Amino acid sequence: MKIRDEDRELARRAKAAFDRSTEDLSGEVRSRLTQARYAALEELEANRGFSFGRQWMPAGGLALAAVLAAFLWLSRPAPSEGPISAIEDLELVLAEESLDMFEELEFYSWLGDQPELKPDGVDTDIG
Amino acid sequence: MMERSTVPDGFLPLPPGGAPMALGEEKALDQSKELDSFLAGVEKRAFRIAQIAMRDTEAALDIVQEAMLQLVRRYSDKPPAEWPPLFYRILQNRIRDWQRKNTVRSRVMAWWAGGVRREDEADLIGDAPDPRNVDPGHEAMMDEAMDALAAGVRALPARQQEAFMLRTFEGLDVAATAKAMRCSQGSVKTHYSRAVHTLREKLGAHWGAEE
Repeated sequence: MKIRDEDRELARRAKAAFDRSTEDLSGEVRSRLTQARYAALEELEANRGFSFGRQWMPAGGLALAAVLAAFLWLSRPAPSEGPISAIEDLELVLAEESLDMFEELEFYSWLGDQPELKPDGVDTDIG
Repeated sequence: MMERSTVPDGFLPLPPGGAPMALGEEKALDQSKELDSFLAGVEKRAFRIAQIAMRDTEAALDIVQEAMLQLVRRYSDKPPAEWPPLFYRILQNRIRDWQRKNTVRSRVMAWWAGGVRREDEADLIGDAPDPRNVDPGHEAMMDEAMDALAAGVRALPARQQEAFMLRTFEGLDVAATAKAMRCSQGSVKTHYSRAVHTLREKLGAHWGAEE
C-alpha cells in the first residue's frame, strides 16, 4: 500500500534524524549521562552489600543469642547453702505429719517406755 | 598422573595474579556489566526522548538519572531482555509526571499573573510553552530536520507521542512498546499509526529527504 510505504519511509527518516541527533550530544551532556549511569551502578553495589548483610542477619542473630545465653549461664552466681538449707528446715518444720507428732508427743513417750516393744535381745537393764 | 585442582569447590579458577572469585561474586559482576552495557546503550536515546518531550536539558538529564536508579533498585534482578520496556515505562511515567506538574505550575503562574480567566477565554499563557523550560542551547543542538520533527512529535497527543518515540526512536517492537506503555498491542498499533500519519501530513512528503 502506498500510504503505508510513505509512513514507513517517514519513520525511517525520523529514526535517521534522531540517531544523528544522539551522536551530536555535547561533551558535558555525555559526561553527565555517564555520571548518572555510574551512580545507578553504585546503588546496585550498595544494595548488594545490604542484601548480603540481610541474608546473614538471622544466623548472626542466633549466634549472638547463643553467646549471650552462654555468658549469662556461666556468669550466674554460685548457689549458696545457707538460704536453701533454711528453706529445707522450714519445710520440715511445717510438714503436717510433724505437727501431728508434736500433738501426740505424750503418746509416743509412753510407747517408747513399753518393754514388749523394745528390740529383741537387747538388754536394756545391763549396767 | 592427573593434576589435582587447587581451586576449592564453589570458586572459579584463579586468574593470573588474582584471588579466587566465588561464583556468586562472578554472577554479580556479570549483572553489573550487563546493566552497565544496557544503560550505556540507552542513555543517549533516553536523554533525547526526554529532551524532545520536555524541552528542558537539565530536567531531561535528571529524569534519565532517576529512571536509571529506579531500574537498578527495582528491576536489576529481572532478565536483561525485560529491561528495555521497564526502563522506558519508568522514563515515560517520569516525563508524564513532570509535564503534569509543569502544566499545574504554568496555570498557577498564569492565575497569579492575571487573575482567573473566564471559561470561554483562551488560556494564552497557560497553553503556551513555559519559557523557563525552553533551553536556549536546545534548538542549536538539533539540526533543522530534527527540530521540525521534535516540534511535530511534541504536538501529538501524549499516547501517540510515546508510541511513536518508543517504536521509532528506541526501536522497541510492538510487544515491548505495549509493555512499556501498559496497554494492549492493538492500542500501540493504533497510536503509532495515527502518529506517523499526522507527522507525515505535518512535515510533508519531502521532510528528511537527503539532498
